[in-house]
Amino acid sequence: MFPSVQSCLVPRFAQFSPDQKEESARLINRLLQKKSPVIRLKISVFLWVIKLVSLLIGQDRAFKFFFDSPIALFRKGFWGINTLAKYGVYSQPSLYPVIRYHKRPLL
Amino acid sequence: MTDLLEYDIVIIGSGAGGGTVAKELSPLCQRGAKIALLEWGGHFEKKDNTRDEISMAEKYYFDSGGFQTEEQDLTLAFAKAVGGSTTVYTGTSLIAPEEVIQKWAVPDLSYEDLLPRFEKYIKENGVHLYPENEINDNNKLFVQGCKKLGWRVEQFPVNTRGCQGLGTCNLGCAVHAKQGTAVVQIPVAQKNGVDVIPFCRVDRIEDHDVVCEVLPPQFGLKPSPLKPGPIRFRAKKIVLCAGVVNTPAILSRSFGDFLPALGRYFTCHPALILAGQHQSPITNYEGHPKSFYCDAFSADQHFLLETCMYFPFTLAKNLAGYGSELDDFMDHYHQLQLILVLVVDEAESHNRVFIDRRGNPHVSYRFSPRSINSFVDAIRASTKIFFAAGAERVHAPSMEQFFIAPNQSDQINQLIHPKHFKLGKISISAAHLMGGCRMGEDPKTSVTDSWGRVHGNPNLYVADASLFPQAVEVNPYLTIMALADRVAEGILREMMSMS
Repeated sequence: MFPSVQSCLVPRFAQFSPDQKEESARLINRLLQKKSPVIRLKISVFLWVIKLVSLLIGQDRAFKFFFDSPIALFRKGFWGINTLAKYGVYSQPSLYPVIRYHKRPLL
Repeated sequence: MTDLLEYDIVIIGSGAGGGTVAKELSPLCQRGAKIALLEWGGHFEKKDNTRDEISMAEKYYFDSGGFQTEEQDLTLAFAKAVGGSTTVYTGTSLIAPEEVIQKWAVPDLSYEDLLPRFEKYIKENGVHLYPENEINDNNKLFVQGCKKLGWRVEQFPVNTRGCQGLGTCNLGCAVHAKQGTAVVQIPVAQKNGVDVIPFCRVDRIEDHDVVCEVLPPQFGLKPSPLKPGPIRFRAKKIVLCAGVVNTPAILSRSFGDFLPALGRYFTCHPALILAGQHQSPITNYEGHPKSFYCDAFSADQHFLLETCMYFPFTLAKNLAGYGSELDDFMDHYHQLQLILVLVVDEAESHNRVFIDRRGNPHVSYRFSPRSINSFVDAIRASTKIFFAAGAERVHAPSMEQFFIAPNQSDQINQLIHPKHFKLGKISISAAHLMGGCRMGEDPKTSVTDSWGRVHGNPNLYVADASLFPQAVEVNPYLTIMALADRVAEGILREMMSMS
């Protein structure tokens, strides 16, 4: 479920190679393993809520609803999912040449 | 059975406060005193720094830089290493404004007392201004924008020696150019005889005993000189410099809520990032990232603007949005100019550090209406700077749309509006943690006296940013060093009179 959400939040993910997609999953899972079981459960539940609402009103409208929700809990939940999605993509050094970032060599 | 080591002085934490205290008290070693400096984290040598965003954040920072408040709308960044957070800041070195020390109104603490201490550390840490040929485009564009708008802009003095402009200051300095306590004060302390003990986590204080656990080494760093396991350090004097989150936590675990102000009046200069895209590539991630600031609005609107540059994931995380617009903006990473807005927050008793039933620290922080208004004003001001510098589009949180363009600059106040500033949607973070053990005369409203001595505990001291009664309104590290210097002076005086 998460990869399909991630593709919408960070469209670049959909263009990733299989290796990059696998690396994204590895990075995200490693991060989540350090979080408490309560947080991991909250994330899983929220993903299901997003999916359910997406089925009812369409994914674009669902995302906008949670992103800008008048309910702080929904905004924070969406921020968490969005941050995970970005983490899987933008922490990968394989992306750096694409966005033209590199580490300056040491003298 | 737990090992017991006896010392005259034990210092807990090795950042701006602990490193300073260790060096200032180290001459006592030549008179036979035994001093230990305990640090939870490890010692990073140059070879240990890969400059990789994710792995270095994991190694240096508590919670990899993502320690969240209870309200989950603010992230705190603070480090665990020999040198503390002085290993991961950008080295900007400003002294506390005189009016701030006056506002603090701590009896017996005067600006005249602190000024020579500031000057001492400015000299010791090699603080200077970068020459013009070492200023990158990201910084130059900020200056250009401010000047075009007629706003005061100043250059940051910085504590570096041999900087190579790697731009990865917030991931630790790979060439040890940044003159934090791990590079300057702690080596001097060690040379004079202070025992530096990394990977030593302090749980609590019982009478004169510091109850700890020595941890196995992590991340391939050099292990502690002590074997892993429980240990006690017995000391005549104990100095807490574990930082704003852990110093109050240690005191709470040790003594409960023995002082009403313990953990309270937490401030942090909450901050967020804005980015503007220029037509052509600019030098942004190479060169010192934080060379200029604008404090023209700090007195009336309570915010500061600083140059900054962040790594790919950190930047992406801080853009308030998702989807193709965000990806497209990130595709232009090498054309992006960044500004960091920091809000000067007020010290309020309900903003606090506390511990849970297991003794783990938590931070509760509520943004005030004044802070929200300051954020919106700061975002508007930053957008004007970007346009004045020639940016062709700007991402500003607190808008309904992702971008604002120069042809909309007459609508800045309508488009960037408090109604769009929703907590939890916008990434706000803080690295200037302050308060929790505020100085003062009255034990009902403070935790220590003006010399850092904990009320009711004549041999227990605090010497880190948790002493601050209110926000310092500039980067806090030099003020921490000045106050720690003062605490050390008081201890030295007592130790000398005892002997």
